[in-house]
Amino acid sequence: MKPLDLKPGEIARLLRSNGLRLQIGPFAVSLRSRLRRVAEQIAFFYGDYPRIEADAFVDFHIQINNPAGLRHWVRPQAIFSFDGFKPFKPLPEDQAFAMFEWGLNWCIATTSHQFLITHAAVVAKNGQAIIFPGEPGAGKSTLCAALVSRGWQLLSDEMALIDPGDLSITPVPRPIGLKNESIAIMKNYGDETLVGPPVTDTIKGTVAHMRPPADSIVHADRDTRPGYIIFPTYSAAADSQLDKVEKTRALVRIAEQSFNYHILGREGFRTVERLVSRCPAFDLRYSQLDSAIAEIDALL
Amino acid sequence: MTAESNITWKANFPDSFLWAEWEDEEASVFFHRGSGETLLLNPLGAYLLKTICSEDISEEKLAQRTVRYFDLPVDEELLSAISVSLHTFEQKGLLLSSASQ
Repeated sequence: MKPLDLKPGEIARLLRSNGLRLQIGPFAVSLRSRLRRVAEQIAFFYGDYPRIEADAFVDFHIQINNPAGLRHWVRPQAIFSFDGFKPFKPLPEDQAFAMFEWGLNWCIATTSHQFLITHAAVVAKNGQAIIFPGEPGAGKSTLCAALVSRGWQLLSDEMALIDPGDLSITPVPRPIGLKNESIAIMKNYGDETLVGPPVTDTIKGTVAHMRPPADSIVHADRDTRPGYIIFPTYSAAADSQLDKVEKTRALVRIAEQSFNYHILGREGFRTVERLVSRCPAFDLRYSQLDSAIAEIDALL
Repeated sequence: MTAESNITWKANFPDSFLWAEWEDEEASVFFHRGSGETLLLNPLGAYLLKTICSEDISEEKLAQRTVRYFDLPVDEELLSAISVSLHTFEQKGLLLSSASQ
């Protein structure tokens, strides 16, 4: 498969016609949209992704367009549809790209039960993945973006796709979602040209996305073995500190953070049990990214 | 002992009880396939569930076994902890009592 490597005008034309077909990690995605800002941001964030053939199987057929009616003209909105089904209410049109990202998360989490799907960022170095499970706001995406800015491979900033058989993690690298203060932090910490335009007044506050490294997209076809589990917590003025977490407690916390644990039932429970048996787990409190990264680097 | 001697406890579909435990850790993790419930249990809770899983048992007899197993003195606090644990498990659908049948 070849990288997309299309000019923005060609991307917009494909989005308006039969759909732009991309390979995003293990998933083939077809996206159709008539919205200019979706075309611009797809070109910016997904320009390095492999394009799939027009006749290839597609996992998710997604459309993002204006809903029907007069709202198209007055304070326009965008609506997400998946195989013709509209699971969410419309949002202001300036949130259309974020809506694509959130909607694709939903598509994966609700259909891809060949994996145990855990709400976590995942990065890798030297062939070992570190899983960062966490509640929204725990600071996992900021830490993930910082690690990626320092050369770590991005597997995902949102969900760990864990194989119940061998526990390997399938990469699904996508734009990293940043919220509120973390947007300015990452513009200062990393390459600010990789951070897209912020969108205000979303359900999560102000959001912006950071483009994933091209290397991470190239290596997205390589499953990675998990090495460590780290539960991050951003805490203002805290010195970076790693504290061991008991396996029993790690099991319960990962189960709570897994989207389809209950659907997998026994298999889900045994998968998390084996994962925490294999991977030492830690709590990480941090306020400074460099010192947090130093603690993590020291593990490998 | 003042445990409720007239209550007999039994496990609700004990075949659906799964456990995860590690030698160097005190707590146990319990998963109930029927309800999808995952619980982090202290040694007392784990002992109670496992004992009831192996046989239907009266609360009085269970309390006697528990104090012997943990080598604890019999006191109201312990009996109360046992009773509260059993009723909590019952509310979660893990146990059935003769009173609830």
